[in-house]
Amino acid sequence: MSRSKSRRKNSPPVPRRRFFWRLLGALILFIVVLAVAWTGWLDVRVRDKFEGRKWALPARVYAQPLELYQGRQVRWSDLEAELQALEYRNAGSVKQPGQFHRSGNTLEIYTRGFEIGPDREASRRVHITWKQGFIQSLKVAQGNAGAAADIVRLEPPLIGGIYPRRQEDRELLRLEEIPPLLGEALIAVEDRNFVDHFGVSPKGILRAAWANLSEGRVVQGGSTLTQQLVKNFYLDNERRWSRKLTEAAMSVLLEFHYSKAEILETYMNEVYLGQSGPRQIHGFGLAAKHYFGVPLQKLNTEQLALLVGLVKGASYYNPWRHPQRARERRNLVLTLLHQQGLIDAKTLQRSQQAPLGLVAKSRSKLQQFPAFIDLVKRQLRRDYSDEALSSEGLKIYTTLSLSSQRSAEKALYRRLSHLEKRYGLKDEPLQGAVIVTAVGSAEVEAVVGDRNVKFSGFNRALDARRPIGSLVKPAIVLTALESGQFHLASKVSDGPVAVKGPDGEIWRPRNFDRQSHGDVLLIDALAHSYNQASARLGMQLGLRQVADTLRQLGVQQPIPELPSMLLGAVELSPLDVSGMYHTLANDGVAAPLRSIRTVVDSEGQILNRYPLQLHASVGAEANALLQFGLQAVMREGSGKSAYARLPQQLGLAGKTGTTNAQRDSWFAGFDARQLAVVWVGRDDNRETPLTGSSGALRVWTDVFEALPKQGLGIYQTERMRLRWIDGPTGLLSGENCEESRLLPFIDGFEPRSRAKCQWRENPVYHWLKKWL
Amino acid sequence: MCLQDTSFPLRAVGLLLILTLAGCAAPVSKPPQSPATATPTVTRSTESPAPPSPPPARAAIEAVTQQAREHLIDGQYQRAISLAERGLRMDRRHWESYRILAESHLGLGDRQQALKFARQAVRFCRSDCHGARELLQSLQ
Repeated sequence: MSRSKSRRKNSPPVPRRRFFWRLLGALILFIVVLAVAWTGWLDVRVRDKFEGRKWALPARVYAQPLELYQGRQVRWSDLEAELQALEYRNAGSVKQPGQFHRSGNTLEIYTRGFEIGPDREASRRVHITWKQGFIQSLKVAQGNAGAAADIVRLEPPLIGGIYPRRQEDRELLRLEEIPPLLGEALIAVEDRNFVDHFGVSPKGILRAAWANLSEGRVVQGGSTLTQQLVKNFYLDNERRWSRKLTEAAMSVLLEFHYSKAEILETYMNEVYLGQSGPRQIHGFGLAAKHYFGVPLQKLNTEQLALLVGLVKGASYYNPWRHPQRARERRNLVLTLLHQQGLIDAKTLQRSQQAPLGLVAKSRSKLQQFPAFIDLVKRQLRRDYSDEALSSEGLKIYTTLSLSSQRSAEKALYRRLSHLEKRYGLKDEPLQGAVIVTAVGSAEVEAVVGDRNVKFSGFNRALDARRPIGSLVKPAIVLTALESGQFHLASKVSDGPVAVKGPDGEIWRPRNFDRQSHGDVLLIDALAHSYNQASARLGMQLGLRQVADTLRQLGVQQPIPELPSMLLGAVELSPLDVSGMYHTLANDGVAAPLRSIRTVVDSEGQILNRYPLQLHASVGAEANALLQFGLQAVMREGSGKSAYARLPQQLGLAGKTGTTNAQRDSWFAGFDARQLAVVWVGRDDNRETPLTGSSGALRVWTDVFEALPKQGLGIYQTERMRLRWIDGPTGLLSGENCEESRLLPFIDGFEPRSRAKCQWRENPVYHWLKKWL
Repeated sequence: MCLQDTSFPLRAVGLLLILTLAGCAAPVSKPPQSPATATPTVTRSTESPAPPSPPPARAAIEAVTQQAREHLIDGQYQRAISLAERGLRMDRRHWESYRILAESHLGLGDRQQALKFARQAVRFCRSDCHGARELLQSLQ
């Protein structure tokens, strides 16, 4: 025992020592294999992301390009707003694209030009003259290619994006598009040894460690630009040693595979430089537009210095919120640039004294039209996945008209406040929605889904399905006119009416004024929106027939075929109503409303077009007669207050809608160019003091006051005739008879008997007056 | 000026006649069939387009229509469609834009849409409509 013990003490047994070395060797080998595998895995990660699609690029959404041509109706204020949205500068003399100059009734613009797939618009310098709100002439300045200037288009303004959950936004730039001083400044401030190191800089780490130790807190980071890129591009923000190690290894791998130029370019597109609401501003390309409203190439030295300064902390140095702090940071960067010999003393002095040169904070935000973008997204989702929309850098060209959208927004929020004041509704806020559509092209030009127009919550324009009240009546009249049994002068009874419902209950609709009006002409029943006459007529024609007409007009929502449907117990959204009334405005031809024209991929290739499609149509002549009736609504019926502010000679057609207990106030109306539908009510569906006339029509009038206008005429076909009709009896009359009025008829469907004429004026005198 | 001068004696005679006849004319049972001069409110609204009369947008419409025609001939139907739609945005009853849309949809193999656009072309055409009518007939 003792021998063995002493042997063990003096020298361990050989097999055990060997085992130890073997274990150590195996462990080392295991670690090496593990390290190699880890490095290999990192290498794959580094290369995969760097060589693949580096960023999820949100889809960009554009408004329609403004077209300028002789005869175009456009207000100067609308054009000016469009130029502002496109960042055109008002210059004394117009020398380069992106400038304009106005003097009196003439305007000179140097357009930038654009491309949408194969559709190219050249950059041109044009002279425009105005007269009474119309473009009188349009001439291309000499020296421009293709002097023809029948139409000039401004670029489509950017109105938003479709972002992934983390709302990263950027505009990618290539290194050759980036001003050299920016790269040099970035290196001078963030990583002086960038050109020499291999991804990590031991010297930099030591320097930072020393600085931090002597200050007693973290004042300097030792990360190279490559490490910063790795941290932001591949890793999360955790501060762990293992993550530091991964960062260092990936930086070395990145440097091993890629050139300094490629790394710098990626860094400049990746770096976080600010925030615009929930949208994150990444990369110098987008940051230049965000802070200064111009492309990066147009920035001067001090503006570039400010951007470089923001790399250290875009929120801390936010130049709008902390201008002094941002200025000091910018000037520090400028001093560093001077020390490195990148700018001379004179430039240093000048640029340090220069103001920050930012655009107004309000202008830095993208135009925000959440309700319209919502409609665009819904239409896009039929063809694209959410992932494609938020990552593939698509360009979506829409039908939004900046001027129509702004007019609709302004009309809604101003008028609702006004109505609340007038009716003392301070504690019971009203809500509303507006949709403006171009008649014929079926393009939606504006959508407002909330009185707080920038709010992107519940979109009433698309989702608030409410009873439409008397907006349904044109469908009854149309059914009557199409049946061949009625014309506009047909007598219908407005006496009390009682209808037995399917549950045995008796339905007794009443007129708004609680009066019965006896026998009235069909056109008057419509113009004055008589409920009793409409209900009786609808029952006579058949619920199924009226529902069919609504479907022909483009209504896709379920229509309950119950008597109450005749007075608007049909729940539709403002968008549904717009579709229906667009058919009436479009001479009876239904067309699905559109919000998108084209989708283009990130390479500029067209992926989808959304052309105009025509659907079913109602009888052209019956529709023309109905339009005449809807004009009577505006002239002498429930819509006449519009003419207190709109030109008397302007032909307008429209219809008011009010539901039970005045819960919903509707108005749908159009001229030859545009249709606007307005809903006003409360989200909790409570009563309001408003009728269609006193609520929605007021908003509608405000909208139309601001829009370009083109009066509606009656569209006559060969089968249509105008006839003098006796007002009280609806029988044929003469021009010069008392109470006669001129109404259109379809040949063969008109009154046959004559009423007795009470002369308004001696016929011979009348005849002679005309002869003279 | 010259016209005014010569018409003056005529007017004076007319006035005399009016005064004489108005005094002795009895009510006539048959109403006159002459065209309208004094019109009720509703009628006035439907017969007048909105002044001020704008300069015509004809040049612009013709320019896009010409381009649309060229693309149609080249078989570039999609481009012809987007140009014809621009024409319709300037004048929603521009019949030739409808004709080009009809031909383009036909070229793309969509006979249903072609028929609907051709109907619109015929409906709004006022002169030289032979081509539009033939197209519609061939589609019906």
